[in-house]
Amino acid sequence: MGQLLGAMASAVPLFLSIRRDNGHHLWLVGVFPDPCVVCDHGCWGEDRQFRPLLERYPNVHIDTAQYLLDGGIRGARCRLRADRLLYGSGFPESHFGGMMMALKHAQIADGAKSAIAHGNLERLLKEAWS
Amino acid sequence: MIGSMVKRSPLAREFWENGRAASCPIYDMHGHMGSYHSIYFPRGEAPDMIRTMDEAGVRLLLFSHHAALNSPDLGNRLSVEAVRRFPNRLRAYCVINPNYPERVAQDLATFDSLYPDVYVGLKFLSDYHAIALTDDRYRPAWEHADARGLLVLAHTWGGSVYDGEEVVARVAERYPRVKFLLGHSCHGAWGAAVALAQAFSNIYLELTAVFDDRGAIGSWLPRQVRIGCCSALISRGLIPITLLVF
Repeated sequence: MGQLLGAMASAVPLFLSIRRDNGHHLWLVGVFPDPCVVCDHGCWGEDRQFRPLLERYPNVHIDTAQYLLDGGIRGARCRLRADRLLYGSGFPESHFGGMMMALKHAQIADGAKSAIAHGNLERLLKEAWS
Repeated sequence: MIGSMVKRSPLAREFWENGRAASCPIYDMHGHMGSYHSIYFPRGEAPDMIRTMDEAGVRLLLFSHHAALNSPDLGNRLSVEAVRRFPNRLRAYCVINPNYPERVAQDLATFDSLYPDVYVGLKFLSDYHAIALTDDRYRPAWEHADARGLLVLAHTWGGSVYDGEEVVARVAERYPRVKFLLGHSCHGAWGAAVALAQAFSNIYLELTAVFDDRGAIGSWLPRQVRIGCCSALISRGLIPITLLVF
């Protein structure tokens, strides 16, 4: 934990699994407002868990791994902006093609798809390294 | 891997490019409908689901309404109403909840009058209803299905004392005329599911939730595999692309 806190204090991006961690370490998000935090989440329409985080903490992002919900990407994009969503697949536990297919055919603009697929992560890493 | 399969297979390419394939319409054997506690559904009601079906090339969806699974006071009524509203696109499973034997008796008594125009078979949700498929409280429904050679979709999960692989084997042997579709294919116990399909000609495997465990599908027998995607829970395309590409 000490190493983790040190990394967060120096603004290293944190990838935090809500699904595996049951949200036990979400308090870190409020304590360290600067580093980028990317969260995954479970598969059963758990927008009620991650949307409040996104609305309250501008440094929080979510990935799409296990975001299986029919129409979920479009709903999240309309409500929250595409720059807070990052492509994730859950690979190697899951196939990476499933979420590629879901993103490819999500009913959002091509620019938003591109940002989710790679642009957002490239921006976040550039910010972290600058 | 996606790239190579899409290049080799016109069917995979069509699915990848269009989200559906005109030459390969889908009959989705495992769907749901309606609201569910704590879950957000952008497209959870019948009209929206039909829209998703059109986008994904799903010709017919066999489903059980969440109310039928979880609200015994409502029972199968909302399933029946949805099928009557979209008779060319939907068929319902008659959900059996053996915690309510009087309701089971009513549902079985009316089944024949609604089959096949509304009902396509029976649906069991043993893990959630906490009654094993082998329990005597399921017997009237099994006997009803066996006598008619009906399709039965049962939620099955590897290792479960309610609907795991050992339980499945016992009921498949006891009711050989039932067309037994294993929802989630004994999720996690993939080898056992394949062995069941090989041992029992009346057992069929179904793909809902299989895609979250990479590598499971390769060992299956195509003749006894059926598509399901738990709509409106799961995004369109996840199952077909998993099936085609991996």
